[in-house]
Amino acid sequence: MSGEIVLQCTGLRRRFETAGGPLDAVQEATFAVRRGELVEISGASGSGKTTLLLMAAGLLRPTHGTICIGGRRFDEMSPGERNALRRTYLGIVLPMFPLIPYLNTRDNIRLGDRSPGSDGRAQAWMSEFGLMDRAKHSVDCLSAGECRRVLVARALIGQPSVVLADEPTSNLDQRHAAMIYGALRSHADAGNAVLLITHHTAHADLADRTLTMVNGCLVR
Amino acid sequence: MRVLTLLWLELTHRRWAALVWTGVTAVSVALVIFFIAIADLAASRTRVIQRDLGLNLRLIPAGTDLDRYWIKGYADGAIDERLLERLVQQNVASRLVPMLQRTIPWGDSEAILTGVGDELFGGDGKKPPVFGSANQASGTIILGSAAAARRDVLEGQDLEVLGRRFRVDRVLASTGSVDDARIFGDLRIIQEMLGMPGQLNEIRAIECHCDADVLDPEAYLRSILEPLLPGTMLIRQDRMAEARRRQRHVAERVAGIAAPLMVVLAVIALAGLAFINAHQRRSELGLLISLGYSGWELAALLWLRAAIIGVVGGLFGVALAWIAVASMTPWILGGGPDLELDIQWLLIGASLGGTVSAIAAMVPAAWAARIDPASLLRES
Repeated sequence: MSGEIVLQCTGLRRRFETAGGPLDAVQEATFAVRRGELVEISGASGSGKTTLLLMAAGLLRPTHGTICIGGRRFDEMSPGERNALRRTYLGIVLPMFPLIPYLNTRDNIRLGDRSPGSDGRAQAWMSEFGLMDRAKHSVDCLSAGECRRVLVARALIGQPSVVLADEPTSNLDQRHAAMIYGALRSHADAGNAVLLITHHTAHADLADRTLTMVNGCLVR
Repeated sequence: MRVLTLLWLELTHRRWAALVWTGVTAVSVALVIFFIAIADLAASRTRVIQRDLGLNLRLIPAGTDLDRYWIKGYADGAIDERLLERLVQQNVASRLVPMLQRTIPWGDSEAILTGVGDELFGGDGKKPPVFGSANQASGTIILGSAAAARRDVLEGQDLEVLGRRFRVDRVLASTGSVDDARIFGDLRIIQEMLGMPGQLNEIRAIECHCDADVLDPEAYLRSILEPLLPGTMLIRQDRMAEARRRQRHVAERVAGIAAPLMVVLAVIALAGLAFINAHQRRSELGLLISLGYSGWELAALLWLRAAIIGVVGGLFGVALAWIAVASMTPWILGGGPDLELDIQWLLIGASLGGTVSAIAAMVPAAWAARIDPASLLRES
């Protein structure tokens, strides 16, 4: 691997204080993702994958450790700086922040790209993901699989340097899952970095590296 | 996608929520404008009523002990009857009544012998005399109810007063005032009987005109009249005009409290709606943060939404207020509606609606600006 490191997490730890006592969701996670790389993190449900991704996205503050994106300390930035970096540098696929119900399919995809010409790029992604006939439909009318494709298109439309995707292929059939993996692979091949969280390993061969999480710990 | 586009699409999507917000703003603005307009109209109409009512003043000899005056019902001193002409020339009152009064023995008690001169009228024509047939024909008197009862006389009977015989023209109904103990007679005859020719002890100036819109009309008239009428002092006959002035001020104060109260209630109601709206959109706000929208943009999304709906609601509010004033003014105040639906009112309504709504949305907008995505994630 020779690409520039665009995402570097070092010693990440996240502890939740719960009624049943402290819960260490992520423990001492250290990894890096370079340009041109697609890194997959797999693991059982509850192993801490999503928590790790949320910290990498700057949406959850780590209890301990550092996160560098594009050579800058993400965890030390102000909320405004983090927002600006997310806007310009990151594409995020998060199932817990789904689509906006009052926007149609095309406009939901355009949310990820605030630069001029986003309409044309949204059309291209809808074409890529087989959503053209749904362009002006309310997202309430979309199937779960179609919603997942819209989420991925929204993350990719702005050509972000780093894509963080949490279970982007859940609810998708094999054909559409392959379509999504293909798109993410192409995005990485274009000189960007992709960090993929999944508990499916069907397309593991598309990843450059696969890390496994077990009980909050990264196992290489 | 721009914030304004998002805002517009959200408004059209949650149109019922937007309509409720518009309705609350419109009703609030309508109530505020209605109260202001009605208070303004009431003050204006009261001013007209007060002007028409005028002030009832009394000119009495300077130096009169007012305590004794109010106890006895008249002033002990005297003023020159010729001053009456100066007063007439000033045309400050609708009518002037010259009087001379003194206490005389009456049976086993006393009564007030009251000479009443011809009423002198101002510029707006003759009106019914204040004291009825005040310029009694010579040889007749009018008795107050107590004075008649004291001597046990009836209308039409003859009666001797200070050695002079009169016929009782009329016995007045009881008024519950000092007038019940009066014996009204012609001023000239009473002056002669009392040995005070050409003298008065009171001029009643009824319905004094006060063209200037001054806070204290009594002081204003006093400043004009007292220098012209040496040897006199001016007192107010009753407090009706003052009461009306105070009533007007009370009405203004009530409107001054009611209108801001409406604004506060509107802000509270709209703030509730703003919180509901923000709470319903938690997931959306979290998504926008994850997409890199800044806190200020999220705040603007909520705040601008409120301001825009507020402006629209404010315009509807002016229309509602106009309908309310048009339909209720004749019922409340009498007369026709005076509120015109002009551009000024529309601007006031739009500004008020927008401002009230924007203030109400400030706290939810501030919350959105500082929203912690981690808390939303925990909810998810």
